[in-house]
Amino acid sequence: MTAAHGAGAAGRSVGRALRTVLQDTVREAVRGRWIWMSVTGALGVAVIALFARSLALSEDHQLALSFAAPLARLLAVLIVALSAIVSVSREQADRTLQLALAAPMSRTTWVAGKALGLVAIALVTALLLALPVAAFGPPPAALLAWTLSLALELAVVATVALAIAVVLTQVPPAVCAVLGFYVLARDLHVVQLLAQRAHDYSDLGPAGPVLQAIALLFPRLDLFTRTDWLLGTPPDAAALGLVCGQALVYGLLTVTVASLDLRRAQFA
Amino acid sequence: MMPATAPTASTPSARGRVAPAWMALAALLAVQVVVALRAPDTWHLEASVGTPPAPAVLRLASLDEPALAAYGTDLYLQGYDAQAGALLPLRTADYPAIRAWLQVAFDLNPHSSYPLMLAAFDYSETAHLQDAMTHAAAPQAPAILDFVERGYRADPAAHWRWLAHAAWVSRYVLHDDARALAEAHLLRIAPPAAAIPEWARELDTYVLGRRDPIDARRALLGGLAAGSGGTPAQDLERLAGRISSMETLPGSKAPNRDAIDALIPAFPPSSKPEDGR
Repeated sequence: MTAAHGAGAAGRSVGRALRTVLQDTVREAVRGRWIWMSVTGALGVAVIALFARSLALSEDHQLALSFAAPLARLLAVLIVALSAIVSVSREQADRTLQLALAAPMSRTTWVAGKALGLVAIALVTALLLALPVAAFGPPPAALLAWTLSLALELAVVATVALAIAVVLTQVPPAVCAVLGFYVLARDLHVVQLLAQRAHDYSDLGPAGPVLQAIALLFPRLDLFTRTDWLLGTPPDAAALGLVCGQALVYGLLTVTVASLDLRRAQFA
Repeated sequence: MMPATAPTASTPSARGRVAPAWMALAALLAVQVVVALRAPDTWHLEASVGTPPAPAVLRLASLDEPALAAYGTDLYLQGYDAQAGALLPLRTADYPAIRAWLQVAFDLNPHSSYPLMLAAFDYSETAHLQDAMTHAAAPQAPAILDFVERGYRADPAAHWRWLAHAAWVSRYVLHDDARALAEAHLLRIAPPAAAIPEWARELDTYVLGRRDPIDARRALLGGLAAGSGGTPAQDLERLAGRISSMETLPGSKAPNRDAIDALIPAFPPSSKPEDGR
């Protein structure tokens, strides 16, 4: 057997392993009623936005979009984060993770397959939760950009949840950690702007540089999936390019973290 | 000796244990209903909407969604006078607090006219009513109209409609002709980029020069409705509804025509309205 033939066989084996883990992840999420959760969530968002619109004395279209888009975004993040955490935690608790690793599959391959499965879940969730927003008739190009950005944001959240679930293993602390991460990723830039405007960091003492350093390690989710794109200020190519780049970099970063942590884990 | 089998739901002893559990559930549900019906109603009308949080706090709480925070603030303020089914008379409301909330909503989303609509269409008239009833030393209605003017200056193209409405309020509600003409003058001298229609630039002639406030409001509605795709249908319907309700009231006070005629020469000349208009 030549080296090339061996490399090709190894590649096909890794590809089969990736596909297997991906399919198992998606199948398990479907069994866990993930699609029903997303559909129900989308209906809930539509109902809330319709109710808000019924209260509006003016600008009812803009008001409905201003309620539907952020609610859909937040709900999508919750659904994807919970699905990812429960998926990983269940595999660790049921020891199906050890069973998978007993097969000729590296830990990195398992993490990569899991990430791909969770990203697939994120994409479908983004499409489902974009439906109630689309129902209020935003400009098509803006809606397309918003949905693409939502899918990328959910992919980042999915990989972050994967890494945190691998490290923390228990569901409650993992959920708290992912939600805290998400809130910081959305709000940290606003906090920085306020600190710069008010005190220029001088009154923060040693906390100032620490805050700036922490901000460098978080993704700029405040630039993703912005509601004002739907309200008449669509994103330009540079803004979308930044969103795509940030999603790719952070997704690969968190998958690497998960892989490194899983490599050093000892299973009984 | 035969091992004892565990009782299942079909065995007599299991059925005996199941029945008390269901009875306990029914009893506890009944107790919960009674507690809910007997719980005291601690709600009472709050005259003041209170001090609003800073725009930065609302922006952080909404996870950096300023449009959501702004519209949420608008709806909160708008619904404040209807608390749990009881109507709070707006003439008793805390207008400095209302003005603060309107400012917060506008600061969060300067592109939206919603706070200016609330100020010009609702709060300015009721604030004037309160000022008149209490003989206020520091009237609140002019301050609310000042807010509308500041909003207009921030984005004339987006907010000129509400300055036009504020001018109507100044003339026919506050009976402050100088203020009304000053607001009309702002519309007249707006830059071409503001895309203000000609009738609004000639507001002092087209609307303010009319004797009857209902007739003036009809002219305002006609001008707004005639624009191509500018004014939302909701705003036109509200204005039409307000005109209908005015028509059912006893006749309004006639405007001070002489004061208007005396002030017009101070501004760039415009054609004077015909007599009786």
